[in-house]
Amino acid sequence: MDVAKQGAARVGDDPLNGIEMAEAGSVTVDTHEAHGHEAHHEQSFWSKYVFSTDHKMIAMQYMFTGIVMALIGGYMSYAFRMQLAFPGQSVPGYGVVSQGEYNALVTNHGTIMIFWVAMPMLIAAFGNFLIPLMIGADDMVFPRINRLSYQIFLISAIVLIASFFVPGGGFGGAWTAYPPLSANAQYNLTPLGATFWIVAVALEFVAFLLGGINFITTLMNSRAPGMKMYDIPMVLWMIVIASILFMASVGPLIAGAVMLFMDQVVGTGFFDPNRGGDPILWQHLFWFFGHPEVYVVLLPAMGIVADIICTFARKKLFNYKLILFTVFATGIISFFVWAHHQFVAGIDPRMANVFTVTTLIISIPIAEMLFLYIATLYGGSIQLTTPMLWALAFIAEFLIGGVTGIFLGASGADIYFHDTYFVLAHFHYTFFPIAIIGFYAGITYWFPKMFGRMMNETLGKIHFWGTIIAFNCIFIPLFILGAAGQHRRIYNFQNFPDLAGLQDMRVFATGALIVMLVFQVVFLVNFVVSLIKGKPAGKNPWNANTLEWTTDSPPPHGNWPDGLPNCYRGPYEYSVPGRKEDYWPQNVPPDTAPAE
Amino acid sequence: MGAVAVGSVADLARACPSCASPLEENRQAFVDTTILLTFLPLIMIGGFIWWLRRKARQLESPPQIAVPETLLQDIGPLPKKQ
Amino acid sequence: MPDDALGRPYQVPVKREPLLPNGVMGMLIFVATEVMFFSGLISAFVIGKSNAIGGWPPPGQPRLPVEETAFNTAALLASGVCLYFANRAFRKGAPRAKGLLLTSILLGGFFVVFQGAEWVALVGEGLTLTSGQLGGFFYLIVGTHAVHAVAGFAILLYTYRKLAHGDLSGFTFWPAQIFWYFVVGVWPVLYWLVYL
Repeated sequence: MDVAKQGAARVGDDPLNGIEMAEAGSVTVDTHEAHGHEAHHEQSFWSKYVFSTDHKMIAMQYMFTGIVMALIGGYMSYAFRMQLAFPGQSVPGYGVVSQGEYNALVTNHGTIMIFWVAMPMLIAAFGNFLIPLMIGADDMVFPRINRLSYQIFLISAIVLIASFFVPGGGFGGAWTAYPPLSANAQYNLTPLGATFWIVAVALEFVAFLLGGINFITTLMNSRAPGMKMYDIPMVLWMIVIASILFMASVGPLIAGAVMLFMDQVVGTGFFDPNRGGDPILWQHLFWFFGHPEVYVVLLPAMGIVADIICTFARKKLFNYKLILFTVFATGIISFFVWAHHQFVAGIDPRMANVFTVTTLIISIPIAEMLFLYIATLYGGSIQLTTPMLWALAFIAEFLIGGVTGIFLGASGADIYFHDTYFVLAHFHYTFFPIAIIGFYAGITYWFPKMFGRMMNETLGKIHFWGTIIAFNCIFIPLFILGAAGQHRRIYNFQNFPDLAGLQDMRVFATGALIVMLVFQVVFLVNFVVSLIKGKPAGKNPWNANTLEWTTDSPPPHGNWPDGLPNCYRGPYEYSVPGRKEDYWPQNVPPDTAPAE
Repeated sequence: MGAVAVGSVADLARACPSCASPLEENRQAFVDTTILLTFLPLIMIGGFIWWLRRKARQLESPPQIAVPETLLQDIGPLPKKQ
Repeated sequence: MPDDALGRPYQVPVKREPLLPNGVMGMLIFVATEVMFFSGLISAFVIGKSNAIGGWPPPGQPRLPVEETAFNTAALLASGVCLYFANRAFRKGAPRAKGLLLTSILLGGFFVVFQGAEWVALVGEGLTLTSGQLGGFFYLIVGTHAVHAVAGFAILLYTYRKLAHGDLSGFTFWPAQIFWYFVVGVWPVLYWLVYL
């Protein structure tokens, strides 16, 4: 009888679907106009878009803030790469990059890309959007804490940007902020910029702390009836495990941030060796968070890729449980590896040996996960849509990042490679797949659900190939430069006779960067045009199984106004033998024909 | 044995002057706090998950139905048909 | 009957009670983060102490008031015990819950005030944030704890107001208690490390 009711509701829904879609589209367009259309909404502009407690709106706020910050971070990379390629010349659109500005640009590029792009876009935007929708809940369990989380995040972003406009300019002590350079204004020459920086970072952590509490509690307590632990989509597991890692590791860094702030402002000497302090202490507190942070941003991207490859290979995820336990193992080991960032900092050699071994061990679960993904692809009927291309590119590019990490994890090799462009290229080969490829995979896959319209596939593929090819052209030369001994954080390599001759490669990398940045315009155009006049998506354009595809696109306030769904099976029941359709949504009771 | 070797010859093998703090106490303090910071979150998370699982088991265990003792006993060979 | 991905037979979905109420779960996660925050401070303190040349506490610095603070520690622990009994009475619906909660709050307030008086005395003796590693770490760690104590005090006052109006639910009271137990529980560790 329940089934009959569901069926009836579905039949009743269908004719209305198109109308609702059109309305939804116009509402989406309204967000970009002024306040003129407020009269149509029952909520005012402010309560709907700015002070919303709806998890979908908060996800959008995080995502658009992240995109804006990504543009700022990309612009910074353009400015300092131009300085390296054409030292001393005026950069079009920026001007001459002075030495202090160069430091500030590099520092804030790193800070922005990790804390204000990777974290909000992968964890906060996708976490907020997907967690309630995929577990069949109407919202997060703490909607107001969720709103507070975004507001603190926004303030932190504003503080960071403001640090560029205070006397002395933005902080230039590298994104790792090692004291005594970061603690003493007489060394870093940016008394206010350094303080703004540390305040912004601390606020950002508080924002994600509040968000993390929400994510973990929501996943534990609000799942749809029938959704057991092993029925949760992999992307949610990974976002939540990432949140747990974040919560467990961020405390010591907040402690360090408070101490650094007091060193800067009050004049204490916690990190000042002249006054009995210990600068190595900061490195411990920073990297105790800093290395789990890599897995905090990696895991959501891995989860997004897992969901996408299952949908577009039309296959069950290869060994769901093994992947899950591998993620647990990754999480546990990620607490044992952080001191590999300090092999040359003067830490106890006994500790360096232990951390070498653990660092090499952590590559095992990650490699295992990539193998399991490839096993998922094996024998599937693969559809090379744009999201699938991004997902496959993630696997391939992240593999390069992981393999080059082995060199750096071995403490002997690291003494040579430390702080060269080899390190830089290595972590860009991990962070770029995570933050940028992972985000593009997710946004192209869930765009129809977020905005009710399909993205343009042709533009999507142009954007994909332009970005991927240019990305490899940027960083492969940097591996070679790093192996040749080119040190990071140097303003002008012309002063070094051994390195000045490699200028061609620097120019090539900078050219590739400009090409890549230009191709991002294709994405923005595709995004805006699809938002306005893309093909209406319908409820389930990809024929996927998870619960978010059972509601309207975009989901209305409360997600399922006609009643929350039940869950009857795991999320990856594709190509089940004996069924007419090759997918089997989680909410369809077992003894009925599939709906739609 | 390998671990002992790694621990004892690490200083000699790494012939770098800045690798060791001159203060033995300071070296030991770094090792101790490293162990504290590494294991504390794991113990907390592990303990929390273990506690939740135990709670979940208690909730999920099926309600016990009173079964007459006679049903559980071996009733011996089946009675012959008449 | 079709099975699911893991070979389990199909079952009718049953909505289960959450294992822990939302507020309790959220507060436990938050407290776990706070524990890590304090262990970061403690680690920093241990390392700062190990760097001291000439022994710890550093010569020429004022001594910390060990005995007075032992008394104050006892007051804070008594506050935690009172809160525990207040919760037991609250669960039974007994009217003495109000008195016990008030005692707990007053003991917590006493702790904060006494601590403040101690600080004034220490500043008078020349122990300040910038006077050296001891002063810096003392005010950092004890001050951070004091901020938490004040926050916990405010939360308990809020629950008391609700209890007095008769509309306090366990879903408000339990998270508040978890936070106060954390404030009480972390203090003996700090006392042992910093004062002794």
